[in-house]
Amino acid sequence: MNLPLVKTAKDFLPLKQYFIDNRYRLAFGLFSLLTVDFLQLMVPVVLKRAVDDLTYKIATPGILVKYSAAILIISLLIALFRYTWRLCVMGFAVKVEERLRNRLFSHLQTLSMSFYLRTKTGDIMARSINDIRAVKMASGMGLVSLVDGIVIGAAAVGFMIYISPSLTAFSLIPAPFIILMARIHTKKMSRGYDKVQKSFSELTETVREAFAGIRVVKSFARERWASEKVRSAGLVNVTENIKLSRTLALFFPAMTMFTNIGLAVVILFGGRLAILGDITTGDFVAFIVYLNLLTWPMMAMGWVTNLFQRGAVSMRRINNILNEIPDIASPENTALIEISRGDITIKNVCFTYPEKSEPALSHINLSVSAGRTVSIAGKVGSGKSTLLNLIPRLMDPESGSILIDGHEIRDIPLGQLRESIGFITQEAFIFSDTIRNNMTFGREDITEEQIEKALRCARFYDEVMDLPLGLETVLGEKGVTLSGGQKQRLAIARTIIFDPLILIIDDSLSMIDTRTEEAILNELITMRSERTNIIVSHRLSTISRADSIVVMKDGKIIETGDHESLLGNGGEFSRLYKKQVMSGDLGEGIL
Amino acid sequence: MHGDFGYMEEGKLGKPYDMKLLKRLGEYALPYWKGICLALILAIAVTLTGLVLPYLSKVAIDRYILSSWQELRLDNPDYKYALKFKNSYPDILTFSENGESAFFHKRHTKDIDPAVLHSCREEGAISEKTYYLVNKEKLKQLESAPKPETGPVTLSDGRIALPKSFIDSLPKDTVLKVRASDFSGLVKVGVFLIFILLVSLGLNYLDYYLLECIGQNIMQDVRMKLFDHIQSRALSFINKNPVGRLVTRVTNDIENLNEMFKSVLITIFKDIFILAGIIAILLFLNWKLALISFTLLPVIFIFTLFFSRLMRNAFRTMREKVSKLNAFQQEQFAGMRIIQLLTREKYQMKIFSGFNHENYLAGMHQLKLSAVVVPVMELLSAAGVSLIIWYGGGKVISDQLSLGSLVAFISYIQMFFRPIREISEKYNTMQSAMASSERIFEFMDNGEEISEPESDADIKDKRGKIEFKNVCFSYEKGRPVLNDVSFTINPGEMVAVVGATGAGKTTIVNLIERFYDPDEGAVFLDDVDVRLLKKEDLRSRISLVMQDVFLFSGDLKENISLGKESITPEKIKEAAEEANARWFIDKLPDEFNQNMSEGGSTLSAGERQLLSFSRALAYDTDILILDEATSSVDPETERLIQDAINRMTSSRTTLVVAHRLSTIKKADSIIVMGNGRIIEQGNHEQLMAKKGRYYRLNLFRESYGEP
Repeated sequence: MNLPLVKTAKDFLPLKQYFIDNRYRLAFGLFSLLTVDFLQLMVPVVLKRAVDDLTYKIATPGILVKYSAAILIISLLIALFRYTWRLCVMGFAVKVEERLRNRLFSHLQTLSMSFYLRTKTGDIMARSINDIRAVKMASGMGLVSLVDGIVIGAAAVGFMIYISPSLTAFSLIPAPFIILMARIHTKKMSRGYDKVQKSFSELTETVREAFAGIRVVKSFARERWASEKVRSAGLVNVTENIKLSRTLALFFPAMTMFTNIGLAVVILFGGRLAILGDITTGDFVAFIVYLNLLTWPMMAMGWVTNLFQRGAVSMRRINNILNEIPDIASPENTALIEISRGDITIKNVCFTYPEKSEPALSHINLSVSAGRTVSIAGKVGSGKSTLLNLIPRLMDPESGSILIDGHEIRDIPLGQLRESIGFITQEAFIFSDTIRNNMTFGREDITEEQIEKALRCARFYDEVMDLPLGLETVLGEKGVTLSGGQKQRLAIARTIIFDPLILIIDDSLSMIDTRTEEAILNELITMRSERTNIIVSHRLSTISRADSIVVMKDGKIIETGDHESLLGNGGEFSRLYKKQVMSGDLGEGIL
Repeated sequence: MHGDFGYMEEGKLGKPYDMKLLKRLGEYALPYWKGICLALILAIAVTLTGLVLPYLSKVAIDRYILSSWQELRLDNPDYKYALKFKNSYPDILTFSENGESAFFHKRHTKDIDPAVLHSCREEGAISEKTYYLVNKEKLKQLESAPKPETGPVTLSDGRIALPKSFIDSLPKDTVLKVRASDFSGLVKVGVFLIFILLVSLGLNYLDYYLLECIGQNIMQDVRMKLFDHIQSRALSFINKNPVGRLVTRVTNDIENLNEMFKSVLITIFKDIFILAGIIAILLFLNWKLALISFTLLPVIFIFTLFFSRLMRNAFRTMREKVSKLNAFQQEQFAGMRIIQLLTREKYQMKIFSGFNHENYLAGMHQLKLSAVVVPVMELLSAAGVSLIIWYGGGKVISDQLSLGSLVAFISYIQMFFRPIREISEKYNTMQSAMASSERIFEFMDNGEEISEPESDADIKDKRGKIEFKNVCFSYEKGRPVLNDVSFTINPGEMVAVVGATGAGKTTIVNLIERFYDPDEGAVFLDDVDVRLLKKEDLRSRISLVMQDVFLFSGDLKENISLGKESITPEKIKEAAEEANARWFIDKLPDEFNQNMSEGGSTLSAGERQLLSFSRALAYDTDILILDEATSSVDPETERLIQDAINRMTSSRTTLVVAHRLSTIKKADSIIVMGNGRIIEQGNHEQLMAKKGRYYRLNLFRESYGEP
């Protein structure tokens, strides 16, 4: 019993600072809580005296006024202190929630691609939402219920024992059952809720899919199939709900029953004691009130343990992320390094993805000097994107080194390194924000002219200006949805706006039609004739405009040269692209 | 995270109830009326058992614990009121053998007219002295005890009245024997109480379980009705609504409805019943004290109404903030690579902590309100108790209220607050449920439908000829997409449609599939207007291969057959073979059983294309519509796609929305679209010779095509 408790406490260690920072607030809150408990126990005392006075006929209207005034005053104080503790202790929990979430978020931002490759977005979201909520519950309601339950429980039992030890013993017979039941059932309930929630998510996903794929369903006249899928997902949810309801239907009535069995015991034995004159009628009444006061702490004890357990599990899961050491970090020495040209040298680089046996890159040697445009060709899975991801240190190579202007990239501060590289990814990720913010990301030093120039270069300016709100148009589900090609052009614009030393285009023009692509690349290459450009594409027209072409296959560089010599030499490149040239097909239609 | 897709429709909140909506909801509940009636009866029974409990403690106190009698003296002719008493309440009196006095149980005192009681006391017919009636046999037990000061009075029923003070002074074991009937009474009350508790437990369980079953079933009925309704609507309607919104209707809004069924049926009904029950019992116990304690009611109601509105708003703001925070995080984690590449971490952190702080403030605001509500409610309850002690205590002094009733009163008043609080909390649920049901019915009532023909025509000669005759169409009024378009695709022919984005290529596909109907003109399949064909008949003759391939969760097999039973596993394999899809399917760990929700995302664009070809081939229709994908794939896969296309199109009537020159060249006829009209038509050679738009378009590509 002792060991798990210590372990649980250890899980909450990251919250220590929050407790220290809020110690006065917490102390005052707990003080108020104790005051409330004390005052609550006074009410039955007054009641007892009133009833006794009435029984023995010594009560007068004057005395009654005193008693009723006493109850009113005690209650007023209870209300005041209850307000204070709620504000202090629960407010603390809300604060913990905010700080912990900020901390988690900022830590998550430092983690590298390898973390995001092995962790689902949904899982991270669950940490930030559900787990933090569970920690908040444990540190707010959990703390309160624990203190409250122990204090008021102990005190009420004390008063009861004072009235009659034997009656107390009898009336507490159901107590262990209540605690046990609360514990078992709250666990069962939360498991049930989880299952319901899961089946609901699955239902949601099924419905989403049915609507997202409606054209397929309709065109193949498979409405009945889709409907059946939704129906069965719905039925699973219904079944889970009904299963949960069985637990719920039993829990609360059973709780009430057990507490009321205490009442039955009091009537049976307490009544007997009252008749025999061992206790007064007032004692009898007060006893019933104390028993009522005990109900909550008894239920809470079972509930609180679960609350702490859940909180501890959640805290452990959060800690797992917080303890995740960013595998890609800035060098110790954060002094800026002189980078002015943008020469890239890749030396003997190898890379293998975790849990894969085949290396994604093996012994890659490549150098690209400033002012050159290099194109990388190869099939899907040949290692092109992996190689490119190593340059801005989205991942670090297993062995070998990458140098920019002769500096090992691990020695360059991460921010500086990434700022000198413009990387346009395959999938154009656009944020649900205005077009302007998608380009500037809050940087105020970017002028209107720069924005316009970048948009024009990406051939996106006129389309933006046609929108009623122009640059202030909000994108995303709640705003304007861009087509794939539009997203890619915006992604190009937001990258070239910073005029980076090194530009990497990772097959990021695939959804733009050939003619527009030509125009964009022409302008880019002319504009950037002094800088370094690396382009990956499947389109021959794109590849052909590079100064030199590197062909990759199975993680290795197999051919290098300019486009004419490669087509002529009958190697992999010519095999891949000859047919495309012969048919005059550029992968993209005539418009 | 649970499927609101960033759509939190909190803006519009309905009235807590709307008879019209409730009536429509009632229609769905109608099939379950028997169960609902049973549940209501159970709820009433549960409430009754709950109300019995405090009353039982009153019975225990008044009848058994404080059991005593008072004497009404009738031996003095001056006692006028005593006579009146005797005549008015003969039932409660037990006369002495000599008729000089009569005894009545203390618990009957409150039934006696206070004026009579008072006058009897004034004239001395009733004294404060209390007695206890003992059976003759029991008297033997008392022989050893010292005799009471006043002699015992023998009653007409043979019992003997002894002063209560005498009984109280007896040793405990004697009391046990003398008051045996009181003890057995207590046992009876205790046993009855436990019995009631068990009954209540059973009823409660049944009631809750039954209502959950009914609610869940009703919900599933509404959900399927709504889903089938939306699914059968025209695409124009479905496309107008973001998928997130449609999903919310079918999932979250329905869930809200369920909440309402449960809270209306379970809680509110029960709560109202409990309130009514408590009011009735209080009035029965002592109507004056009851009315006095009811003076608190308006205060409670006003406070509850006022604060529940504030709380509602606070909760709504909180939900809004949370969903904003979630939407932001969702995006952040999905796009982390971009953020790191653009080194925008600080900017994102600033926005995030802003949202997080807003969430904190909303939480604090809600907390401050709730920190007021609970204590004030408790305070009001305490005020009720103190009122009862003050006023009710006075009544006890003047014997107009028994002590047990006073205690019961206190218990009932404390019970009073829970239902009131619950009802005000349910107001919330009701409101959002009403808003949800309004949105659900709005969907059920609206939505254009592509109508089925009244009598479906039958095509005798299924050759696969498609014809457009003077078709005009616009998605929005005043913005024509197709303008007087006419063409014919003869059986077995392949026609390519080319043109710029927005030229109306996809619209042609939509009209053939009858996703839309033309504004003017008509589309014919085998010389029959498609509007005269049953939609299912029409669509089952056409296979549509779309640009962006949509994969359903479920295994790969199911993604090819789309659950159609007539498509056997062998047929699926053949189709995949024919579509050149076998090579990558065989490489998947579970091959045809590969789960697509897990593995689907790993398929490349080209592989997805081939999969959708398999789908079309498995359905083996005589007409094929192919919307070529624009995105580029690596040359190897490209070759497989081309090969599969050649095979598919050779034996079918085919319409291709084409992007690849190789496809276009093979077409029997090419339709060049521009601004919703057909600009040119003919085969590749003809169009090239014509040196029109098609020629110019190709000139451009030729200039880059050759090395």
